[in-house]
Amino acid sequence: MSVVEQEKTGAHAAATTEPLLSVRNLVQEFVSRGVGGVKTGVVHAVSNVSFDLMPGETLGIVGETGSGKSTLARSIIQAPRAKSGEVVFRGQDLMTLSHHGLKKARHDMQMVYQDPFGSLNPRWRVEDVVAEPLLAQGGLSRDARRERVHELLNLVGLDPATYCRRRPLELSGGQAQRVAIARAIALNPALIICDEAISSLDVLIQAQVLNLFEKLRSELGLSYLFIAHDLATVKQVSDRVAVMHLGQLAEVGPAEQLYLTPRHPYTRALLDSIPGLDPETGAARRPVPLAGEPPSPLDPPSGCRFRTRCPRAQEKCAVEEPLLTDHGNGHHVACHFPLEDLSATIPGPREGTVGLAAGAE
Amino acid sequence: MNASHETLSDLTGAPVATRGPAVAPEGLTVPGSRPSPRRKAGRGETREAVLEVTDLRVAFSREGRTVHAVNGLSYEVRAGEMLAIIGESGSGKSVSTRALMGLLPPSARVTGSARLGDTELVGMSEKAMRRLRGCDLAMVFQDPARSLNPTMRIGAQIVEAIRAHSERNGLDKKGAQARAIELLKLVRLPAPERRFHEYPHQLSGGMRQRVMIAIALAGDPKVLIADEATTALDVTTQAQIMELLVDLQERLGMAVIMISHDLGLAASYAQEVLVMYAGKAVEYAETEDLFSNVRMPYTRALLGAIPQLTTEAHSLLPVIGGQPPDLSALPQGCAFRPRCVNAQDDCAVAPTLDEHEPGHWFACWHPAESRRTPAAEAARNGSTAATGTPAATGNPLSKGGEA
Repeated sequence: MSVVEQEKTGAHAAATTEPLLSVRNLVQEFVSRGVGGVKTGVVHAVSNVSFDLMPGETLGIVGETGSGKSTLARSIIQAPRAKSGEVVFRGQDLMTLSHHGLKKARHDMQMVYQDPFGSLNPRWRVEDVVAEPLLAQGGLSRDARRERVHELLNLVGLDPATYCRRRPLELSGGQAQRVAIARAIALNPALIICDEAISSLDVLIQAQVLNLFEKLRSELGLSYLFIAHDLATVKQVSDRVAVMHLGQLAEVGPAEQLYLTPRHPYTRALLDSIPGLDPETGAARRPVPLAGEPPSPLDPPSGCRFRTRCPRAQEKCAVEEPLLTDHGNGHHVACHFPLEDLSATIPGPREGTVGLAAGAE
Repeated sequence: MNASHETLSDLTGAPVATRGPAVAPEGLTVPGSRPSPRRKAGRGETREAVLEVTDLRVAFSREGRTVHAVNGLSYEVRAGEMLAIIGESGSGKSVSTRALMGLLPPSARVTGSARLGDTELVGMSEKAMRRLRGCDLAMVFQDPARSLNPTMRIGAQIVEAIRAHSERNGLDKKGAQARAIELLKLVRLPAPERRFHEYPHQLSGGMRQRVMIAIALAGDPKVLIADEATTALDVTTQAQIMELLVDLQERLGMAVIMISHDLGLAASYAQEVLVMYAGKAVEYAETEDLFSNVRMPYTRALLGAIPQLTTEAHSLLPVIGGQPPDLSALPQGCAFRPRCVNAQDDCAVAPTLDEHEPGHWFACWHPAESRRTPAAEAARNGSTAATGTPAATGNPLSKGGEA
């Protein structure tokens, strides 16, 4: 598989800087076992994934359930270690680091999970939750820690006087997620991996937390890997977006370009599945469903893994695996028969199933 | 499951309306006070409302604290149509429908009226409710993995639901099995004969939700309540399930109440939309009327917070601060007042849900400007003509014509 090159047009990356995170041919597989520990198959969770993340850049990773996006995130922080490949973070290959070295490297990369109540100890007070990474790192006096905790809570928009002594169950979902974010940024990391960090929140709270991520990015110069199952939610935060399908990258590109002219039929299908609503006119956009069920990662189809659901699939797709190839401007697509580059032509009605239904009846 | 000797047609037939617990106490229903986004002339005849909810209230009392979850909710649903109830967590949208199905714990105090045909649901005895639930009124829940029994084959679970209503459908075990396969075909589960013998863990999330819908259809419901039925699913699967629900609603003439937090979903599929906040309806209209002319500031805020495919990278979404109110200590007057941009002194008196424009009901003293005034219409027509009607191209990504 071709290696994803540095983006020439990355919104924040200068052409000369080194990538913050560089993932090469990452493979993660799990052995599935039946009764009595008999091996029943291999789950191909992440297959040969490569990408770069520049300092200060946000890469959105989108895919359906079971596409391997969470496994990818965990493989990057080596929890558990991936089967093969390279994960180069700030010049160090995490795959070859010792346990101790990994512990140090993880100071600079933190995760925010989907369910804040599941990732905060219900018996701890907010101040203890946020202070834990500081305590683990050591070197700060009790007073300095407290000061830092207050600073962090202010940063995520929680009043320390009100929230320090509360326990997670005394918080709303949005507040708990803010605490989880405060904990993640406590050690001044360079990279934050958000695994569906806003998916369980209500739409108004979701907007608040998205804005918080945006504020922290510009104030602290953070890089994000922003994982979500929905293309709409990552649009606002992402410089580039990667679409994952069944453990592989189907399409990677600058966000604006990928949304405007998706080249992979799967990306098109994902975009068409989003129920849209124009806040100005109130016009609804009824989703166009993608037929069929996602194939099992235990037994992915031969050739292109999307071919069983793809409206453009042909014989070649069953035989030959499409490689992620550059279509210009840092837009990489893994498809034998990619959609036309519509940016070159006048936007108009698209053919067949990829058209968008205008408005509800 | 059900040891009743009475037939179900007794329950739903007209004479039953006079039976004890199934009838609302006199004086609870106020005729004519229920809001209804009436069909306008020229759009076909108004279909009959199958479910009429009037001034529904639900309160929970615990340790001396009373949580007012639903505070005077009224709406109606018509056969073959879909009503979307929209709101955040804790707005009372789920509690209000669970109250209709008698699924609330004993600590809940339900008042008001909910009439399904001639049957009053509020205050109905548990025995009568058991015969009705799953038959005339069925529900599909959010998490299909948790709603299905993991130790039973899916066929057996559907057969169980069919046999529970055997006094109505008169099906024996064989007949119920045939009907179960028929239902699986109806919900378009691939390879229904094989899936019949499989366990829930062998199915994907979308397929499990199809099985849940098949179970809900087992009793030929008049009203199907889909409580966040697609929230746990992927967008691609969500679109499939919504298409299925719309198809069933039209083919079977069912009324569907869709509970969701997703405005886009409501706008795409529902005929009518009701927005709830703090247990009250704050805006209620036909889908197109509501979204093309949102008046209530809360609905505006919801609409503005939806991530759009056209949002610029690193831009900030317009958000309102604050949290939904504590339902055990609601603020005086309008519950949205502490978060509202338009709030003024007179909002200390709660506005009622009124029909401010034909078919458009909302509860607000200081609503956003109407787009239905002649001046606004003219301005809008003028501007859309100039930009080549961006809304009509249907492409969410074409920003006017600047591409």
